[in-house]
Amino acid sequence: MPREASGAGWIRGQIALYFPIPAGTGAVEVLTDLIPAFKFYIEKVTAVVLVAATGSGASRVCNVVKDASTVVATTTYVLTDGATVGAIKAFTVTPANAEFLDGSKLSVEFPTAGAVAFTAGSLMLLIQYRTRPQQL
Amino acid sequence: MGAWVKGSLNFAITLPAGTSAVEGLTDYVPGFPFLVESVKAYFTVAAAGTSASRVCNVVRTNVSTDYTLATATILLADGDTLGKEKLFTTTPTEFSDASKLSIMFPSAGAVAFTGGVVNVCIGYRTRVVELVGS
Repeated sequence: MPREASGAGWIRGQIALYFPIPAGTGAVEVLTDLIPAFKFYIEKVTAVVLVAATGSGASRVCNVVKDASTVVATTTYVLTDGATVGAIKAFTVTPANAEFLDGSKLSVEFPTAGAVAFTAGSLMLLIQYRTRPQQL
Repeated sequence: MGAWVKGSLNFAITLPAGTSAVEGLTDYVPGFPFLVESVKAYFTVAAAGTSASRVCNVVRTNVSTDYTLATATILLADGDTLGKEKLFTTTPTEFSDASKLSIMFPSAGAVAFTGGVVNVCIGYRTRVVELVGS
């Protein structure tokens, strides 16, 4: 672990991910076990509509997950959220789960629970974090 | 005040079909202070559409009047090759904690694209900050 300078302050950064909303109602991971490999805290997660969604009554839970199963941020994404290109939807972040260490893994999953299928649509997921300057 | 650190905000934007006004990103709040230094777009899906042309504006939308901080007219030829860069004319612009960011395609002068996706990279500088209460 690189050293953090005492009192060095914080820097914000962003991880941007693009993926289609999964068709069907099965569990899907659109990102599996990415290791950013530095220490940071997720502050905010926002989904932006890249391609408008379709699917009658469609609804999928979307989770940002740390390691095996710790949910850091979640939302239930419904058809109306994806109706307009450029529209944004904020996830609910659990600050107590938001710290990532050098070895932490980042995944984005759509579990099956409560799923009603989308038939089209894609999202841009903006994961904003804060981190400290580090001394290698 | 702390030192400056450079960074980039990245947004995938589908070039709009048709010629009407479209927002590829609407009122996103980065939530921290920074100063935009540059805006560039890189094609991740090649453009299509005969003689296509769309103005693309990066806009700060937190004040009463929208402020266009960067603009480019994206043409078919700009997107004929994957990875090709399109430079926006940019005015260095400050964002506060509450500032909103939008990416707009106005209708004026539009000739429709039928395909194409760009990765809009907004280069900024920000200061190292202490959080209140941290």
